[in-house]
Amino acid sequence: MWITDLIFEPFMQQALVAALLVGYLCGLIGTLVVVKRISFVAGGIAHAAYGGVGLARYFALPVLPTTAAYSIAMALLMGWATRRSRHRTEAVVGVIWAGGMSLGVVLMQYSPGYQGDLGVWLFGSMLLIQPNDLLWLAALALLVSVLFYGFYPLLVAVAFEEEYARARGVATDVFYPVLYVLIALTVVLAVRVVGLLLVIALMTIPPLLVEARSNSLAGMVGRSVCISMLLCLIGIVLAVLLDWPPGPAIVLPACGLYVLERLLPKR
Amino acid sequence: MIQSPAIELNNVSVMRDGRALLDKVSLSLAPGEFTAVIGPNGGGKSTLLKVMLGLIDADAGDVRMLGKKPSKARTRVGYVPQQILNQPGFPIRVSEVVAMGLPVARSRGFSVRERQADRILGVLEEVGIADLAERSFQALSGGQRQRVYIARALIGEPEILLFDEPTANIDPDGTYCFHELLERLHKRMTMVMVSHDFSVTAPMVDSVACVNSRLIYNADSQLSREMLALIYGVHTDACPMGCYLSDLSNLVIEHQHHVDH
Repeated sequence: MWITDLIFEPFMQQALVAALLVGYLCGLIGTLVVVKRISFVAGGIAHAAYGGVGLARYFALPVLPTTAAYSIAMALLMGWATRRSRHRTEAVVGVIWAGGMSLGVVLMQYSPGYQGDLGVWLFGSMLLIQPNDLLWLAALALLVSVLFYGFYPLLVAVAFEEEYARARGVATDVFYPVLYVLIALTVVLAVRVVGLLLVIALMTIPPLLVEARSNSLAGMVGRSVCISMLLCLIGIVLAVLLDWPPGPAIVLPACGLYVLERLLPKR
Repeated sequence: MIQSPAIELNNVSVMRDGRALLDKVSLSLAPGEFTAVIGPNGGGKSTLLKVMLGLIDADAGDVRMLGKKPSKARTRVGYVPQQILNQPGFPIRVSEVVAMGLPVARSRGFSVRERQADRILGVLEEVGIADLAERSFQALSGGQRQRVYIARALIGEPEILLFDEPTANIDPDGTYCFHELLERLHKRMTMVMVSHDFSVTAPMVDSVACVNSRLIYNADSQLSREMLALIYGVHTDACPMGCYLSDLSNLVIEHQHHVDH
């Protein structure tokens, strides 16, 4: 079956819409992750989320809400812990990262019944995408867009120079918890498309590709979103044609683009 | 009629890990006064500025900016930070950096309103870089960036302007331009400048405050023996009374020479 025939299959249409929404979210949230240099934190949240999958399986709970609640809790814990011990940020993130992954693996092992292929959680699977996922993805995309547009000047101020923003009376302490929660939600909703292990690549590579060629944060977000959505579409098509998991099919072209960008002369 | 002070600190103490960063500091600056704050690294200069900005709460004592608590006077206080604080590589235009100085509640969306754009151009013109409004901030020289920061502080039409090491990382040309700008701003507002660069501050300041956990204030730009002793622990006999800030480094070297022989 050729790709033009597959496009009329409901699962493929769902996969494409989900990929576009995940690309949009990762491009937008990822820009803030990159400019604030918190890729390690975002990676920590993504990996720790596996503990939520393990909890859901062990206690036979619905996976998406349980993983979302667990990831938000871990993200807030990470935010609180890193604010309290600024000099040990990477160590605190590392503990939560490794702890979450380990908890997930152990709980999966003791979960009753057949657990299926763990790889689908780690690297994504188009067959897992449900119509409900699209609704959640669309709702999150709308929320993130409204927040980004409504608070853009404050966002720029905090992202550029936190201390100055605080001196101007901006409630900077709200910034990180909100950003971490949005990262957690994006990670959980992106799991079906790109997987927990590779979502961090989709969050960081598109913004990195355009950072040096952007004059403003809005411009960087626009470009990053376009590239991220395009990579997701390419990845989904590659996944279908080559029978790859979608995560690697999205991330490998992204990595190729990144290498190419590094070789190109800068402005 | 007696003018109420623009900045007033009464017995302010700030403690961190059992150490006093500021120890019972008292200071009263009149409206329009330009004060240089000098002192050794780790002596509490930046802490003093952060207390004035309301970024750090005093553990004891009282701080008043224009008669109000620092958190209530934020819109009337401008701040020019050290250049090293911002994110390197952050994609931002000069006009966007200046817009950060506008009142927080008036900003929405991706672009500034027309009236705000006029104000941004006005302050950029005042600091002599109106032609750079749409340039990338990261592409500017140290001196140009410093002017952008000053424009950002001025756009809020502050009554108090605080500088934290404004000439750090700026070349001599940039320092000279900054000097000229300070002369124009002098007397228009109360200014406090934390600086290591005595040559910049000495010629135009009205008063000087030396901070090394404790604070000694002089109502002119001359250093007292007590100030030198507080800053460098220099023996007071080595410094004749009435020396200017710009002479300080020479005096310290001369004193060291005297001690060595």
